[in-house]
Formats: sequence, C-alpha cells, structure tokens
Amino acid sequence: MLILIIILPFIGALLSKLIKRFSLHIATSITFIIFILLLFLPDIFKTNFEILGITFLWDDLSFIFATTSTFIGLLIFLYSFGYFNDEKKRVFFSFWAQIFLGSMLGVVFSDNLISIYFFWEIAGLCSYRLIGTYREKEHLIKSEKAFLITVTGAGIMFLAFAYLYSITGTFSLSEMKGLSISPIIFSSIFLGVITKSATFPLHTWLPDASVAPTPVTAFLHAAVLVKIGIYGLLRLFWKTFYIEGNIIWAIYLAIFSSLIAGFVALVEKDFKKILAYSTVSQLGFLISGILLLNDKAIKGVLIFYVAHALGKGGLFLTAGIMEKILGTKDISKMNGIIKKLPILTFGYFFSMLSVIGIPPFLGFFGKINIIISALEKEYLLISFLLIISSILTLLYLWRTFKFLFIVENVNFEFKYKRIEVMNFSVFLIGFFSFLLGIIYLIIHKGGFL
Amino acid sequence: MSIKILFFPVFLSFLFSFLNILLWKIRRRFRSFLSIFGSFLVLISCIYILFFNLSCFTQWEKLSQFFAILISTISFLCMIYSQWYIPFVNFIYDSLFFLFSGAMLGVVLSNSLISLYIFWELMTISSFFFILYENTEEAKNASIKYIIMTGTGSIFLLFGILGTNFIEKNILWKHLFFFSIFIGAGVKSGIFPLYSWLPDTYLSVPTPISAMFSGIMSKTGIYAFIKFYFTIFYPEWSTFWENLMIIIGMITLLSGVLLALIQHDIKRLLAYHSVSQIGYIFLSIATGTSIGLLGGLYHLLNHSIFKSLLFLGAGVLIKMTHSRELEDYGNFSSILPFTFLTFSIASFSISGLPPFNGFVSKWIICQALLEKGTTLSILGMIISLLGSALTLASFIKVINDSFLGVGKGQIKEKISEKSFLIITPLGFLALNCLILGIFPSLVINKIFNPILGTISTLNIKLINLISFWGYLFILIIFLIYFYSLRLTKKIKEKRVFIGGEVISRELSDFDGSHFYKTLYETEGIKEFYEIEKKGLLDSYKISEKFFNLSSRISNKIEIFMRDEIYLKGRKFILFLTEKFRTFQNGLLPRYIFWVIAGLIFIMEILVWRY
Repeated sequence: MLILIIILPFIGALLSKLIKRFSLHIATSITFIIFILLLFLPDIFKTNFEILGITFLWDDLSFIFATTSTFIGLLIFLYSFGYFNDEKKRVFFSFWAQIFLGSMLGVVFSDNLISIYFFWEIAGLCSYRLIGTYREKEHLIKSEKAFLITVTGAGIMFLAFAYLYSITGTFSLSEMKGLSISPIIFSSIFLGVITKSATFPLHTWLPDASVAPTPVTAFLHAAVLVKIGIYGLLRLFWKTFYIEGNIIWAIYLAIFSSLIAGFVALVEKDFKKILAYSTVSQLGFLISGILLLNDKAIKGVLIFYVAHALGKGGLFLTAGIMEKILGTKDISKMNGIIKKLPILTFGYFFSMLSVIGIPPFLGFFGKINIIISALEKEYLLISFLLIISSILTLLYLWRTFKFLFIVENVNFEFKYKRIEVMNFSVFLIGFFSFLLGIIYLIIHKGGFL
Repeated sequence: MSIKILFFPVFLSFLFSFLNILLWKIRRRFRSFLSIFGSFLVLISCIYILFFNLSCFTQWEKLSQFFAILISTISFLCMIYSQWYIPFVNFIYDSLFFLFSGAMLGVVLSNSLISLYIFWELMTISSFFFILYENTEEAKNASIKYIIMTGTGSIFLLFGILGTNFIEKNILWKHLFFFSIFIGAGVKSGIFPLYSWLPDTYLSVPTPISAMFSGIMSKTGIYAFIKFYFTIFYPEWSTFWENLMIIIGMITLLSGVLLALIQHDIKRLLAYHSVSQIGYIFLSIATGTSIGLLGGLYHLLNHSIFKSLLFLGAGVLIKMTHSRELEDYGNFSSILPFTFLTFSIASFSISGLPPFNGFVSKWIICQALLEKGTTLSILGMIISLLGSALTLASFIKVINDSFLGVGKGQIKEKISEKSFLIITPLGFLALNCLILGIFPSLVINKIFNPILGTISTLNIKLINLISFWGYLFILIIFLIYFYSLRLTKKIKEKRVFIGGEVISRELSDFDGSHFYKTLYETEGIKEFYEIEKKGLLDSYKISEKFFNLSSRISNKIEIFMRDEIYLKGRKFILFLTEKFRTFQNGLLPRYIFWVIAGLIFIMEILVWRY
C-alpha cells in the first residue's frame, strides 16, 4: 500500500500528460487521494515494504512530513485552477509538480540512503524545470543556478553516504541506527542539506527562484523542496546517527543565516523576494532548532515546520494573487485592498501571524518550544538571537501587511477577475493555521511546554 | 475550582464577542442593549468572584481581582459611552470591544505566565484594529508604529517569561531576563524611551477606546511588571536596577508633562499626561517597599478613573466640534455644564489637589520616596511635586481654552448631555474621584491592605485631616463652579481703540495656549524641546536607523554572495573546463597518447606498491 502512495503521483503525472484537457483535475484528485490514504490508511497497511532490496518504511516523522506536503500541494493545485489559464502551462505544471510531490514522498518514506539520494536528485531536477517555466533567458540562468548549487551539495552529501557504506557495509538506515559519526561526516552531510534548505553561504538560489510562477514558488518554499533538507537532517541526525563532537558552529551558522536574511527582507522591495528571504530566515530557525538535538526542540521543529509550511504557502499564494490583479511585484506600488478582498486579508493575516509566532496560532507553539530548549541547554546567546530573529520576522511581515492592505491608493483597478478559487485556498490555509493552533492548545490544556 | 471561576469573565467576554458576530444583522438599538448588557454581565461576574470564597485566594489572586474589577468597570462605562459616541456602531466595533476587554481580563486573571502571554498578544492584535477603525492617513501610520513597537515589546516579554525558570543559573542571565521583562512591560505602559507609539495611537483611535487604552491597557503593563518584580525578582536584588528605574520614572514623569504643556491637540495633550502619570506609578513601585507599592496601586486606580473621565469628557467636545484643536473650543461651559463639572473634577484630580483622589495617592508616593531616603528618591519626590504643579498649569490651560473664555469654534453637531448614555459614565467616574479622595483610610483598609497582605505603616491620620478640610474645599469648588457658570453665560465684548489700527485676533483674544509659548524660549527647557523635535528621544526613530543600517550591511553581504562569489566561481569553472577541452580535441593520436600515458601511470603505481 505504501508503494501505491509513492507511485501514484508519477502515474498522475503521466495521466496529466496524456489527458491534457483535465491535467489539473487529475493532479488535484490524485493529490486528494494520497492525502486521504495518508490520513485514513488502516494500520495493517502501514508496514514496511521492500522492492529491489530497497526498503520503504512508515513512521511518525515520515507521516507528518508526507501529510503536510500533500495537504499544501492539494491547496496549491486547487489554487492553480485560478492561476493558470493556458492549457499548455497547466499540463506542464501538473506534470512536473506531481513528480516533485512524488519525489518528496519518496524521500520521506525511504529507509535507504541510496533511494533518499535518488529522490533527492529527482526533486532537484524538477525544481530546475519548474523554475524555468517561462523559459526566458534570465530565468534559465537562475534555474540553472538552483540546479547546480543543490546538485553540488547533494554530491558532497553522497560522498559522505559512500563513506558510511564503507564503514558499515549497508545503506539501510534502520540497520545503521545508533552509529556514531565524526564531525567531518556531519559537515559534509550538513553541506548537502544547507544547499537544499538554503542556508547562508549557499542560499542565493532561493531568492532568485522567485521568478517562477507563484504556484511553483509556493511548492518550493512551502511544500517540497526546502523541506526535504529539514527532513534529511531530522531523519539522519535525530532518528539515526549519533554525532560525536561539538557541532555548535553549525547552530551559529544557521542563526547567522536567519538574521542576515531577516535584515535583507527589511529592505527588499520585490514582494516574492521578501517572502523568499523570510523562508531563508525561518529555515535558519528550524535548522538551529534541529541541531539542538533535544526532544523538546524537535517537537518544536515539527510543529513549526507544519506552521511554516501552511503559513508560507498562504503568503506566497497571496503574492500570486496580488501579482495577477495588480501586475506588479513591487510592494511599494501595491494598494490597500483590505476592504475589497476581506477574505484574502483574513487568510493573509492569519498566515502571517502564524509565521511570526503569535499565539494562539500554530507557529507560536513551535517557536516557544525551540527557544525554551535552547535555554534548557544553557545556550543563552542562541536563544537571544532566536528571539531577535522572530522580532525581525515581525518587522518585515508587518511591513508587507502595511503595503498590501493598509496604505490606500485611489487609482486602483483589478486587472484580473477570476480570483475566487485562489482567495478560497488562501483563506483555507489561514483558517487551518488558526484551527491547528487552537486544537494544540486544547489538547495540551495549558501544559504545553 | 478557584482557577476555573477566575476565567469565567474572560469566557463571558468572548461569548459576547462571538454573539455580536452571529447577530450581525440586528437593529442598532437592540445591539446597543445587547452590548451594554453584556459588559454589565462581565462586570457582575468579576464582582461575583470577589465574594466567592475569598479566603482561598492568595495575595496575587486578590491583586488580579482588583485589576479585573477595574478593567471591567471601565470597559462597561466606555461601552455605554461608545453607544452614544460612535455614530454607526456596527458589529465589528462591538465584537472587537468585547475581544479586547476579554483579553485584558485574561491578562490579569491568568494563573500561568504563558497564558498571560497568550492573552497579552490577543490584546495587542485586537487593539490594532481599533487604530484602523477611523481610516485616516495618520491612523494608518500610527497603527504600524503601534504594532511594531508593542509587538517587539511582547516578544521581549515572552523571552523574559521563558527565562523565569532559569534566572538562578547565572547573574548575567538574571539581568538579561529582567531587562526583557522591563522592556516588554514598559512598552505597553509607555515609560520614557519607549512611549513614542503612545501619543499617535491614543489620538487615532475612537475616543472611548482612547479612554480604554490610557485607562486600563497601559495598566496591564504595570500589572505584569508588578507581578514579575515582586514575585520572581524580589525588589532588593539589584540596586542598579532600582536606581535606574527611579531615574526612568523621573524622566518619564517630567518629559511627559513638559511635552503635554506645549500641545494644542487635546487628545495628544491627554496622551502625554498619561505618560507622565505612568511615571508617577513607576517611581512609586520602583522603591520596592510595601508603601511604595501601595502608592503605586492607589495612583494606578486613580489614574485609570480620572484619565478615562478626561478622555470621555474630551470626546464630548470632539463630537460637538469635529475637531481636536484647543483653539476651536471656547465658552462651552454654558452649553455643557455637566461635562464642565466632571472634566474640572478630573483635572483637579490629575493635578493632585485636595480633596480629590490624585492628592491622596501623590501624598502616599511622596511619603514612600521620603521613607526610602536615598538621594535619588528625594530628588524623585521633588520632581514629582514639580510635575504636579506643571500638570495643574497644563489643565488650567485646557479648562480655560475649552470651557471658559470666548467662544471661537463652530458647533458642528448639536448634542445634548441629558442622555443616560453620557451621564452615567461621566457621573460615576467623577463620583469615584471624590470618594477615593475623601475616604482614603477606608479605601486603603478595604481594598489595598488585603492585596498587600500587611497593614502599611502609613500615616493615614494626616491624610484624613487634610481630606476633612477638603469637604470645605469642595463647597468652595462648587461655589466657584456655579459662579463661573453664571459668569460665562454672558460675555461683555468691548471694542478696543488703539489709534484706528486693526488688531489681530491674537492680540485681542488671549488664548490659554499663548501662555505656554514662552516655554519655548525659556533656557533649560528650550534645549529639551529642541532635542525632542530632532527625534533624539524617539526610540522608534533611533531603532529604525539601527535596523536600516544593519539591513544595508546585510544587503551588501547578500549582493556580494550572489554576484561576486557565485558568478566568479561559475566563470572560474567554465575557464577550467575550457582548458580541459584542449586535452580532448577529437584526434585519434591524442587519445592514444592519453591511453598509453594512463597505462604507464598505473604500472608505475603497481610497481611502486609491490
């Protein structure tokens, strides 16, 4: 049954290519089926599955990542009904996006370094094709940049995998459990991860990738690509290996990345680039949380991962709507649409609050757990810098809110009318950020620390 | 059980907030009734807690109850007033109002620090929308300023809250966490370098909400501060912070009142007075003694009463003239006698005249500072007396300009004071100003001693004595009041002849605000105003500069990484591959050469190994 979940997106991609007229319908329904399967699969089917010596497994970690990605993917597919009108673009998008999603599912369910690497590279390939959707020369250079940087990182990571194989004689993660690894191996895997997850020295491809159409960027930032890196870190260093030696430099690198991206987002004018830098900033937050290697911190990371996926999805989809109706990406030229599109405002506002980490939205519970476990480990400076990072998040996201919704411009007309579906999906995202936060609060009854 | 009953008022507020959304289509009259009834119910439930098994509550829960009753009372009065003030009250306003007051109740009634923080943020977010309510350009700018400053403050507060478990680890940690809490609570209450959001915000929101902001929202900051200062950080832990807080209190007090003196916008003036009064409260609490806390709490109670009253009174003027400028008012005492009476009572209270309540609390504050006995605290006492005098000067200006003098402004909207919606809040608050001033010993014994837990060593007799003389004083006040009413009904106008020249309005009408123009030229004070004008005291502008600088540096690094490192690296690799291409030019001899060279190389290695 597990293999069905992994294979379904690839089948869907083929079907979208064949039945061009209903390509997006197929993509949406396939994603919906996967989502339902993930949620309501009976326990007997959640067994490990082996094919060609490669094992796929089901555990809580992979369940969380798969469900979140599929859900966001579903909403993005729903959204792109309003976004793409051209049949050619629809086919292109639904084909590559489904393969993208499938490779994400492949990564999260595989128990084998080889298959992780395999799906990891497929995701890189998809990102290459998707970023260059419009095939202008500049876009192609940028998509090439994304591809080159991520593939180089993955290659270095693969070297570390090979070295691990030479020690243990196996690629299976469950057999390698508890293996202690040296800081050098850690660094080379970490290098691979930070190319995918866009952390400071190797993050420049992510803001450049904002030339892609919005559903694609939403996929990159919220659902799939950058989250693969987070998953890899969690799977390898929390679930499997034990790191010997001090890795505090990596935490500082991640926080530095988070701060610098936050500061850049304060002066950037391109709305999508602001959101991209925001992603870099939040990823730094998440990575430093993971590297604390503490159960509470990991819990916080998982919660904030879900919150960020939802919230950032909502923000990007709003960016797409604004781009469509106003024909510009420059926030200083945007208008106060708080009265004309109240539903969109709600969605954006809730997503924003969730990403900033304001209670009772979901993001708050993630951030608070990460910061408190940094304090428990007596890293005062780290926790303080994490606080500064969330203050920066507050500043630049309110700045976007001001330009988008509050400042009013009289000369204002919609260039694009069919935005109901898009509005609805943004609203759903905002609503879920709120609902999940409330559910979390109710489940834990105040003792959520 | 005791914990759950504490949250009942909060729950009730949220219920009514939700109810207002559900019943969004009902008629205005019915909605007014529903909202007033709802806030009355919240008030009743807060009072009900008071009688519910009082002995099981600790001191701090009693403090919470005190704040809860204060908040629900002021909200109830402001809700009544809003129904009169806001011309088109819709469901959004009422619903937000309940959300806001419920969040404030939640802040003071929370038993855990994290739930305090959750309600704190809810309070911030819900109050944000009130600033956007009037939809003017200045309101929009103010809203962003407000949310950025208070949002940053509350994240600092969160850091302090999270750190409370770890303060014993290291003295440095303790200082840092105290600093965070100080900033978090200070931004909300508006102490010296952090109040730059406050005037803009107070004047952008609808007037009843200004009364709420100034009267109770700034008090939640004080509440949080008291709670942390007296439980987690015991007051004697650091003389450095104690002295710093006394200094900050003094500066807040003095700068607030000095800035208020030169304002001509009535709401801005009241906002700066709010800053100054917060300075009093802070000064008193900073002493850390039980009498200091008593003085702080007493003044806090008084301030929320008379400041709400002042704002509500100013609201009447604003609604009547559609203007906030003092120059547009004048001679309204004959039209609005009731507002005149209550506004003057509040003005005398805030200036600390006996027998009104401001006098009592300022007396206690001075006593606390004297008992402290350090040089700084004596200086603080002197400054607080000076502040009182300046406050009185400022309010004489307001009363003179708005209620007495010559009628200059146009009345844009005819209003009558006879409505129950306006008499109830103003009258009740004014009555309280008197009661709290005349029966201080009763108030201290019944309200504050259970909270403080100790019978304070205060010399109440002296206050009682002065308050007794106050009865007489009241009579005089009323005589003056009725006399001035009679006086202002008829104004004699005479033409002035100065050699046939036409005299300007400035020369003929001597506005109250003209008195204070000389302040600009006074040595010593002049420098302060100049510094203020340059924005050197504005923490918002200063931190904006800092953030701009950091952003620019980061942007440079970013551009360097993007353009230099990546592009140069790309070029270098292309260059290398170009060089490698010359090895493979497609000619067979070259490939054969490479094959043989490779073979020889491998042979070398093999020979060398074995």
